[in-house]
Amino acid sequence: MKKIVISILKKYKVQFIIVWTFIAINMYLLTIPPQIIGNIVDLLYDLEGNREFILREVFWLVLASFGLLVARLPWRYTATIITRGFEKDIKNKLFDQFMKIKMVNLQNIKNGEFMSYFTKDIGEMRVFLYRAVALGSRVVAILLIVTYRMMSGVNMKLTLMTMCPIIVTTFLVVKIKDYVEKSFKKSQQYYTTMSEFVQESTDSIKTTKAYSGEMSQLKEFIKRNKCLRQANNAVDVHSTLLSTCINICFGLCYGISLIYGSHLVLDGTITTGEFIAFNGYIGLFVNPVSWIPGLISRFKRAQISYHRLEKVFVLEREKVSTKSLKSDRLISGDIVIRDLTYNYSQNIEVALNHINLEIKEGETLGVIGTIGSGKTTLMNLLLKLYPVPDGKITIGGKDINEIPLGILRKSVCYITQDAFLFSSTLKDNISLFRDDYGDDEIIESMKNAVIFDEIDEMEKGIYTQIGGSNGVNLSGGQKQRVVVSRAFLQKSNIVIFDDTFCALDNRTEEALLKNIKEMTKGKTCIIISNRISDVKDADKIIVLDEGNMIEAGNHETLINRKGLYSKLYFQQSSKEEAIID
Amino acid sequence: MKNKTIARVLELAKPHKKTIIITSILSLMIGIGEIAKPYLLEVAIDEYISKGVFQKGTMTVSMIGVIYITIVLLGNIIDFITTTTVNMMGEEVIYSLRNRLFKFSQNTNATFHDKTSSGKLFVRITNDVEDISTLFKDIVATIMKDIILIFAIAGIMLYFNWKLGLLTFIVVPFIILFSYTLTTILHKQYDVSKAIRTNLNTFLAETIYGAKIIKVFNIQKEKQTECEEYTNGYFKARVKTGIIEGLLPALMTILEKIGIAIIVVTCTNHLFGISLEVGFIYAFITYMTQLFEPITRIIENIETVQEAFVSIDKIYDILDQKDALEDFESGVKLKDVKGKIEFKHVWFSYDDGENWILKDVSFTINPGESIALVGKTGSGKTTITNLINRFYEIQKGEILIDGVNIRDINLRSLRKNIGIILQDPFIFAKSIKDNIKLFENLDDMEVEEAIELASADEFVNSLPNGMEQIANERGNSYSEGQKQLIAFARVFANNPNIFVLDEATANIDTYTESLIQKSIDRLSANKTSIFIAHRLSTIINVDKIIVLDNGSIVEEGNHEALLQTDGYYAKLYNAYYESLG
Repeated sequence: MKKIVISILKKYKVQFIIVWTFIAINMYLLTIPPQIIGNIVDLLYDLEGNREFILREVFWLVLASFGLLVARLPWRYTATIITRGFEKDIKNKLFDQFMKIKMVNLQNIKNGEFMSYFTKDIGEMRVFLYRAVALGSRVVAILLIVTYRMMSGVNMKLTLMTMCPIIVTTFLVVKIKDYVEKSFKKSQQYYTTMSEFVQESTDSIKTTKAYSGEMSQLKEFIKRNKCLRQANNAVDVHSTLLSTCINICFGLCYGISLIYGSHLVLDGTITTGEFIAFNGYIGLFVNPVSWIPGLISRFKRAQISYHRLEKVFVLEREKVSTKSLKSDRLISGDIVIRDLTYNYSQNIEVALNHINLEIKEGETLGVIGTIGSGKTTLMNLLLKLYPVPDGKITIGGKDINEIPLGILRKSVCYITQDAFLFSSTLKDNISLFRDDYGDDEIIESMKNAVIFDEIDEMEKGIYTQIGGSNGVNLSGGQKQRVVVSRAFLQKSNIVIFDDTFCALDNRTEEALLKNIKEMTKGKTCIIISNRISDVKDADKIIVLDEGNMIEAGNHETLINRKGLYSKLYFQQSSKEEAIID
Repeated sequence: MKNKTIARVLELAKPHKKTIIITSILSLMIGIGEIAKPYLLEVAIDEYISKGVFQKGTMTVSMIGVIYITIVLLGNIIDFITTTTVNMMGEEVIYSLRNRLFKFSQNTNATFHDKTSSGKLFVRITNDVEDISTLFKDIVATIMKDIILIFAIAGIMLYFNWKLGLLTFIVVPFIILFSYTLTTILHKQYDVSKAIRTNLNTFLAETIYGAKIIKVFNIQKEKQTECEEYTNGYFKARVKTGIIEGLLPALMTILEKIGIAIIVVTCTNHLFGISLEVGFIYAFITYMTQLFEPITRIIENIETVQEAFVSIDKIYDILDQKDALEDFESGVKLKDVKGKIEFKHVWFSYDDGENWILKDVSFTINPGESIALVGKTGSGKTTITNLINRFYEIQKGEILIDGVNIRDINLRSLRKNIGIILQDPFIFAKSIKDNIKLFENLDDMEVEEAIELASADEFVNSLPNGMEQIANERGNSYSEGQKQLIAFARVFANNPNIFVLDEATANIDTYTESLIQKSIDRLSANKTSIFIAHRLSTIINVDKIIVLDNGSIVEEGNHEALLQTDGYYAKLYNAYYESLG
């Protein structure tokens, strides 16, 4: 993590130099106007004699403000490049890490959690970087330059006296900011609980009405709403207090400068112009003081986010070469599983228990089992999405751990049960964003998946946009067939369908199964399903239950065994269970 | 901005008239304090410093400084009070508006909820109300104060020297022009980058969700390229905003210095016969610079105000649908319900007679009887159950319970006497106990009894915390069958005399199914029961089957009788048997 951050920041070395140079120029230019105004005031006492000088000072004044514009844009521009560039780079790095993290590590992180790494945590780091680059350096520059000008240009004692309230306030303000942050966090929490309650009660309105719960719901809501109001009020009071503090502080500075400064003028120690310039310098302190508390609290937040991100960056990666593997030789479809036991980390229950299985190239395997029986786990292991111990699985005669991951996953085409589609065109969803396939190949695979006719009717055909705000929404059955098209396109040696036909009607399913049979001739095919009808023609069928392989054989032998398989078979074709409409 | 919107804002503000008047007066005092400060400086310079005296009459120059500090302190204390009061008023406004909206959403009828999605209601109650809080806080606290300040400053400038005042005002149109143009451009650019960010985040969320597919198909490289395209687009959009953001303050500085130049040049050359003392010139310069901040702030706030107005209209579009409110007050309260239900020539339509869902439906259910409603989807089965508890009002005919027209029955009392189990029971994110009690005051014993009666004890006891176990959002961690069991316990706990069950079509495992069947038997034993039946086992056991087709009753009788009639039911029954082969 540290290495990554440093390497990104190093990329912007030149930009950092530019930013700091221009900020220094900028801050120097900022201190010129008060001095000029002071000079003008002094000159005004002898208006007639100094008219020309005054005009010259006025000219310099306006010129300095143009100079500010010229010096300001480069540093603003470069600072944005640094911070937004940093954001971009670290997002890409995190994405890269996310793509390569091992599945074992990935499953412990919730999707929403990962999203907040991308948005919230990187955002926090960016904000702090911007503040550090833009505000932090300005605070330092202003404090140095202005204090120097006050002391050398006006009066040392006056400077020290006016500094007192500023220093005290800075500490006070940092403390108050802490309260603001805390109360803000609290109010956010209350907002969330209020929102969640609203979400639930708008969703549950029918139940509430059926049980006449309107009044109780309202009472509950008012309670939450009241908490939110109180928390919000606390935020308001604290943040108003913050600005009031700063305002009083600078009011005091001006007051002190007026009392002591006027005496100095009357003493003849300083001129009226210097006195006025001094007031101008005080004004330049307002911004830095109000920036400091924000800088500190942002630093704390960025620190937390940094540590959160660090945890992701240390997670172990898979060793996958992302080179195009089209030229690589695929492994053959013989699968041997020997005494395979697996449990997910932090799970007491065994997901798979002593599984032994042999599938020859060209065979079709049917897998039957209820939810949680270990079907999907077994497939995940065949793709090595989770670590497999040595000597447990061999594919094409080779131990799975000796096969390069890229080749393994190219050889095994796994159609998962969630029928996941990306918000992109249908073509992208089938070719999976690879340019190696032509439109005709994609159309052919869709024809085989019995989906092309429906897609062809759409205006844009295979270029139809899926999902998103203006995309087409496909039905569950259509999605399943689009996903299945991937298998027809990939031409792998081992093809796995994980419960991918459940949303299809009988006739479509029959046609699809026929095409699959055709395609997997000479290849290994694994079909996982809850429905006996999907697997009954397979060469071999296994029944999984709570991680155990309790039955194996073909349709006839399993029916005769009168075990779970035959029970399911009769249940599924029995009459009492079915639905009349 | 429409008049209607303004009227709505005024309506919201009305209860706070006093607060607004008082804070306006306080704001005026703050404004006076602000303009007094440069004036004090002018006095100090012209009356004391320039003349070289410490004391004039009884006033010393130090006393002026003390007055200055007093004004600062008073002004800030008043400002603190004003701001917090206004903020609290803003919170009060949204607090009561939220309560009002929530109450409205709870008390509106089913037709309203059919038309208004729960997501829409959610946004109205949460986000849109939040927008209004900024309106009240910003308009009253900031904009009003700023307007008063602008007028106070302009007033005193004109009072001191109207010619110079008018001359200085030349810069004002430019302040407005520059800040308005830049703010508009900036907001447009914000929208652009926001849209890109949304796309990026959608992409990220989707990719995180589809992590497994990406690994299975080895498309990390393709996804990385896509990610970098998005982050790069966002980066470029952000850099643009950065430049525009930097431009505005720099332009304002230039304008400010030009303003100073105008004042100084006019005074030194006695243009328009203007001749001022040094202190006055300095005071004028200070006043002029004080004008900038409030003007730019108002312009920056225009956008928020506009957004808030849009939100107000959206909220009132909901609140104005007063005829959607249900009447919970009037009507007789039911006592000792026997449970006789009569439908007399009932006609019903969701769209006021365009499509009749029920056409002249008449039937009677005697106390304690059970009936099954059978028919295709859309035949009007569910509608009938929605009419008994008056989720919808019928257009023609009448529905009687124990001989009383349900229109004359108090709505709460009516619904409390009917226990409904919906197809997909809603589980709240509360404890199982609270989910069963729902809105009733029951003790633990009664809840336990209900759990036992519903045969849910085995399931509830298997939970780590028993009936104290908090359910996930929408009961996500429970199966459909378990949710049904909780819903049955709910009905047992409430113990109504009429029981309505919309049978679930989802797959429920055989064991849970048998538990549910037990509950059904127990409930229907001594209650008037209506089933929207899908399962043959339910249909066969009822006293009477009512067969609906297209909104009309086509047949009535028990299973055997209907089979003998050889009509619609028999056809349905036989067709179903044939489909099983």
